Amino acid sequence: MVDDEIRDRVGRLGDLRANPYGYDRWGASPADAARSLVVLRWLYRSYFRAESSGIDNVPGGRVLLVGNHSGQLAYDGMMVCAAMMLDAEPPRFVRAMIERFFAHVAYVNTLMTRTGQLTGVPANCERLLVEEDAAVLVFPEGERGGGRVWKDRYKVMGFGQGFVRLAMRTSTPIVPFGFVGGEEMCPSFSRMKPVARLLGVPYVPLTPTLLPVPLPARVHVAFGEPMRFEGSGEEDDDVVLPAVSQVEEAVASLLDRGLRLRGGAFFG
Amino acid sequence: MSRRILVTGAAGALGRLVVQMLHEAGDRVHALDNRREGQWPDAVAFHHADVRKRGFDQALREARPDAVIHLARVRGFEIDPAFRHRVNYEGATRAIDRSIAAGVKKIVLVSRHTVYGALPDQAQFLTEEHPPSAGRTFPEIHDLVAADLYAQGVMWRHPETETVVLRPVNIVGPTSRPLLARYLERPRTFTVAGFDPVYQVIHERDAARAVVGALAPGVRGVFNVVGCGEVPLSVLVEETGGDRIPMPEALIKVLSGRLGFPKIPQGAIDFLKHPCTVDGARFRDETGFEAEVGLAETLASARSRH
Repeated sequence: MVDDEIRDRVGRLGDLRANPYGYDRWGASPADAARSLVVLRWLYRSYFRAESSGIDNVPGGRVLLVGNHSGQLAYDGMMVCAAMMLDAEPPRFVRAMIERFFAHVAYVNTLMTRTGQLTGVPANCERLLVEEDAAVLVFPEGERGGGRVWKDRYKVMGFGQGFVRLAMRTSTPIVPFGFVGGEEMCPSFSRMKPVARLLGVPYVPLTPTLLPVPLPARVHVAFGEPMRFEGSGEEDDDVVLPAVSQVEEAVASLLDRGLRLRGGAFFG
Repeated sequence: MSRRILVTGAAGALGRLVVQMLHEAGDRVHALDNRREGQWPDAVAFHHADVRKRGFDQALREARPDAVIHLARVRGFEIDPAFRHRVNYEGATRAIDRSIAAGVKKIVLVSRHTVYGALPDQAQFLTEEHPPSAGRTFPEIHDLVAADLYAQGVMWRHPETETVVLRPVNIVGPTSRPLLARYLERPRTFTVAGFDPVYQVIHERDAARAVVGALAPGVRGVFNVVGCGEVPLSVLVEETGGDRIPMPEALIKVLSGRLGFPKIPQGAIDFLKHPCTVDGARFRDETGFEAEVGLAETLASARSRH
């Protein structure tokens, strides 16, 4: 289970410090992070045969990782966290800003909390950046991206502005990334809105596997150069929107790079 | 110079500690409660009165206090909601209004961090700017939210009086019996399966120190008060010596108030599912307050009751 590599990696996570009871102030536990990394490592290396490129672009200190969202059930977030813990040197603990819906779901809630993932509200993100110099993972497309359907594959669905304003206010570099593989591992042909409404969830993917069990598509995470935007975060929209477009374009070109580097979706 | 201080709800656990601390610091303390139990030091004047009645006005006239600390309230969901409202809301507003009319220059209302509510889409470590939102899922504690907000209105209407609202986190200790402590002291403590929110705790002695600290001249406004740290609810239950029984939320709802199971409203269940944590920086910066009792000792102090 938890072997030397995992112990070494988790032991060197500078941004996950526990109190004597084994938890940090957000409820994350290094022991549970290590156990979950066992599963993530298997998914990352064996199941999705994942690779990353440009991970050295991620600077030390506070950073916002911003990319495209896909995969129906946040496999993309897990794989980016795995890349940062397994491929980055030194390993970084990543806090993903997760869809609010998951906070309602029993067991998923505890798993997320224990592994350091937080409900995606700006105040949590800002506190992590300012007080803990954390690496925070943001999918500005939100569930529009996570629940995307096949015809929208590898399309940047339009980012909100919040993450740029936050980056400005907190002087945080944005590292864009393109996540390749989420579209093929869990293609969805409909969000099944009426069913979703009945169940009270944002979307219900109609997938070939019926359940959102991912197919073993090959994954590539392409990290870009850090982007820095000066400002107070209170600027007018016409100042902020061009910055948002720059990040969108960076993610789009990283998707191209990632697709090229990955090659075949399942073989090759 | 010794201050004259009137403490309502003085016979409660926090009240006794506050009275004791002020008394030892050389203040002239007037303890007021509608319960007669317990002994008081000779130098402490005890007023057997109810904040909602004329006895309180008489105590104000006799004590002519420099400061009033309002702690009187009732707890629990088994009692008549109208009675809760009369004591916790009307009692608080009356105590504040009468104190101001009597020329009191400092009023400290001890509210709770629970006024923020435990909501799934809420940030953690809320600052005082965050609107108290408990009413969204927890109408049973509307009285506490309303009293808290009323006191804030008083800050604007009566700038000549220094009004302080304290929102301490969960108070635990050998004598404190707030809802959390009563929940923890059950030999078998149920939690909601699949949820394990982070809890902040403060030792009762630190909570009393914070109340006394709020009396310092110039301190006014709303302040969260935090203790020495935070742990998941599961750790809190285990460290205080309880057996933890995770139960599906649906089962808790069915059992609530039945078969000897305590009555637990949805809003209270939410506190077992989602964190309600606050940022204590403002009070620390304003008064220099730091909790003195460590996490281990705080948790152990709640264990000693078993």
